[in-house]
Amino acid sequence: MANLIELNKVSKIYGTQVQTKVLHEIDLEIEEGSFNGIIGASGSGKSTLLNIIGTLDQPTSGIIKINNIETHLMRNKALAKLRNETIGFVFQFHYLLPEFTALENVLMPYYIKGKKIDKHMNERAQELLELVGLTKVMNNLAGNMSGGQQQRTAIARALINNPKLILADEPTGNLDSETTEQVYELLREIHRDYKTTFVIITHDRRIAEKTDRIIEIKDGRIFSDFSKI
Amino acid sequence: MKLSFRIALRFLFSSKGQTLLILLGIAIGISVQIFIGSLIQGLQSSLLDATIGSSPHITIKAVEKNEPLNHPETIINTVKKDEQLVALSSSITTGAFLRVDDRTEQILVRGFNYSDANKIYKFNDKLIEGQLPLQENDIIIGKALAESFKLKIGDEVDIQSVNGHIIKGNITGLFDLKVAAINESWVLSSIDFSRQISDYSADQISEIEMQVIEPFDADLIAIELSKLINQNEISTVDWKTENQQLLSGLNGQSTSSLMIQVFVVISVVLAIASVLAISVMQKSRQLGILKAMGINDTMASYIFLSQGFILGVIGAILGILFGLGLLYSFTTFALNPDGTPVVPILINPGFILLSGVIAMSASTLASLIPALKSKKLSPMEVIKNG
Amino acid sequence: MYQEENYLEFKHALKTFEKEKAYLHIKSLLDNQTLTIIEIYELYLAKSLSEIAGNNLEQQIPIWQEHLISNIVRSIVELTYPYVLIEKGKTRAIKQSVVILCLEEEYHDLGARMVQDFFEIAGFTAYFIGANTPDSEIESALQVLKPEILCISVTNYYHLSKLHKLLNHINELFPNHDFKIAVGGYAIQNSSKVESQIQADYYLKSFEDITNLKEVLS
Repeated sequence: MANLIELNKVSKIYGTQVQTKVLHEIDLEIEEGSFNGIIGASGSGKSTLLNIIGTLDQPTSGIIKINNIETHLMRNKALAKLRNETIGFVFQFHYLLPEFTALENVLMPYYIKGKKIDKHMNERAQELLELVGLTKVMNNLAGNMSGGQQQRTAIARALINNPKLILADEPTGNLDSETTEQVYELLREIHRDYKTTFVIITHDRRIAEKTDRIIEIKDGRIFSDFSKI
Repeated sequence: MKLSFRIALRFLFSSKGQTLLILLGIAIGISVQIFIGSLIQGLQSSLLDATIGSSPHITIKAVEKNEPLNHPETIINTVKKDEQLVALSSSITTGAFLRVDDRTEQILVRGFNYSDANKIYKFNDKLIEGQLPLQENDIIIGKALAESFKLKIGDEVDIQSVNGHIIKGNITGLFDLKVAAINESWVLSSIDFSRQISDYSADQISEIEMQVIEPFDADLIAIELSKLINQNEISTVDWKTENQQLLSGLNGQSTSSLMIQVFVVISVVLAIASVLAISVMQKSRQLGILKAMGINDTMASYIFLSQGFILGVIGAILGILFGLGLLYSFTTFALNPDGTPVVPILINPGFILLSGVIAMSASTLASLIPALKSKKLSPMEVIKNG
Repeated sequence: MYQEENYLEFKHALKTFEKEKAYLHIKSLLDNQTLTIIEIYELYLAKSLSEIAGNNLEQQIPIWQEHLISNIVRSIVELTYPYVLIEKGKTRAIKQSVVILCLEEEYHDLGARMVQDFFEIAGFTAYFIGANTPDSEIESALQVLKPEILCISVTNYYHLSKLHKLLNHINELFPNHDFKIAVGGYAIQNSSKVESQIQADYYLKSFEDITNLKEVLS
């Protein structure tokens, strides 16, 4: 399988007067269609790494290629388009728009793409909500849903544009263990059915156990990197 | 663009209290602006109407006081070419004495051709009793004069010229020109009657009086006319030159009214800008999410421009309604004893529309700052800070 | 001699949770000396377990069944200890001890338990600590038992990064230590880049690897 993501000597320094080097010359390749876990203590730089991969943050030096395109050469508008069409984000704090319903939140990336919502698309959004078990509450405002429901909505939203890549930062970080299991099973199903590439940061052993590759970040460096054969 | 508008609308709906408050702010600001504007405009137009509505704007007469204008036809033919002219009346005005029994009073006899003069002085409306002079010897007198001499319609009085000869006049009507000095001294007659008293020949009159379309251009028109007539012994006098004080009063009023309106609009703009700036902060989380999902900077800033526009439109509509309401209640409840409004208010649709447009564009403009601010917001700030 | 038919019979007994039948099956193989104890472990017990509920398979049977079956196997392992002792008596003893354990939160210790018997049969003194051993306990065991070999079994590949961390830690804690480190287990054999990242002295896959190790050490 080809590489979907390639990082070449990626470093990140925060601050100008007091400089903190958060990432040290990271080299990393992520295969298309793989299911990857990133672990590491808090402050290890794993979230920064994920945000840099997702083009939400820029590296201080080094090259990132997504789909063989160097993202640091892209303009803001092109990056926005890349995020919209190629990447789906799931964050620890679900980050829904509380002013919109679950269904509207799921459709939001598609709206942003500038497409008209036809019957087919509406059905797809409803299917995704069914997949995450939220058919009943799809017309509730996101602000009025429980944490688990919001997180599952965020997952459905990440999927609407059929992204090649899903980046998740502690997607089950604030969910109870039962919901964690559900969310995880869901991600796995999506991986199986849509061949989506996943990069998931997790503290949760049960989730990390089930990924195909575990990358441990320590002090801004890749400390270990094991894959299932 | 459409999505930005939708999001803007939803943001506004989701914080109803805040939206209502800002709408109220815009609406009150605009209604005050409309109210003050209409009030001042009404005040000025009624004042102007009182001053120049029923009086000549430009008068042509001889340079020398009490000298006649010779050959008025040529002058009239010249001035009539001016497109600004709406009314023109030639008259003979002369001093004389009214003698009733032993009492003699100095008066001013003004002889008009009433079909012309009515266009300027609206004598028909000023007549409180009787009718305008029809016959050569018919006269009408002021109400005060009639009271002081105990005269009534049908009485015959002696009018004595400065040269001493006496002509009899029949009183056919009483007028009230709302100015005591005039009511006490003017005697209006036919032009032939006053010619007899003044001893003017057939091709002599004392003045030509005119009204023009734009009273405020009267001074300029007067200068133009005197150039056209081009006679040394003739002078043109306009109302503006004779009413400098009134004019500067009106000017001051306009300026202060404009200032008030400008400051009201500025405070509305500041209010919108500050509320929207806070709203960018409040919605920075949502903006971060939208940006992470791939909304571009232009779309993000359109959200806030749309908010400004929506607030502006609704605020303007409400403001106009409030403003009209204020005007209505003012004209309904603040009345003179005779039932007329204390201040006659002028409802000028153009002005009200303009106020609405100003409100809309001001609030859209006010949203420019938050819109630019939203452009700079990075999704990282939101994601990092949870 | 290994017979496929005979093996399938045993596997069926396991699948149907017939503990007694499974045990008697193994006992008869040992009593009749059809197979050695090593062959029983490698060709019957380990093989059947991985076939029924292997780590490489999607979860086909419920976890409780998996646990039930592995507990039957565990019982068999314990019950075959007399045969282990017989086998041990046949080999030359080596004056070396080995501590066998699984890392914290690693509960799959049956493989490690079998490895203990392999080491005993090979002539080592084997201390089996078992599942879920926190790092501090490992340190303490190393200090008290002073083994020549620390043998760690890793079944779940998630624990590879923990192993990586532990070995780094041990090198810091016991600089220039005399004991060797041996690793094995499903995760060690079925993950990429293990040998390049894990600083172990030996990678053990089979009983043969243990006898080879004995040759090297003696």
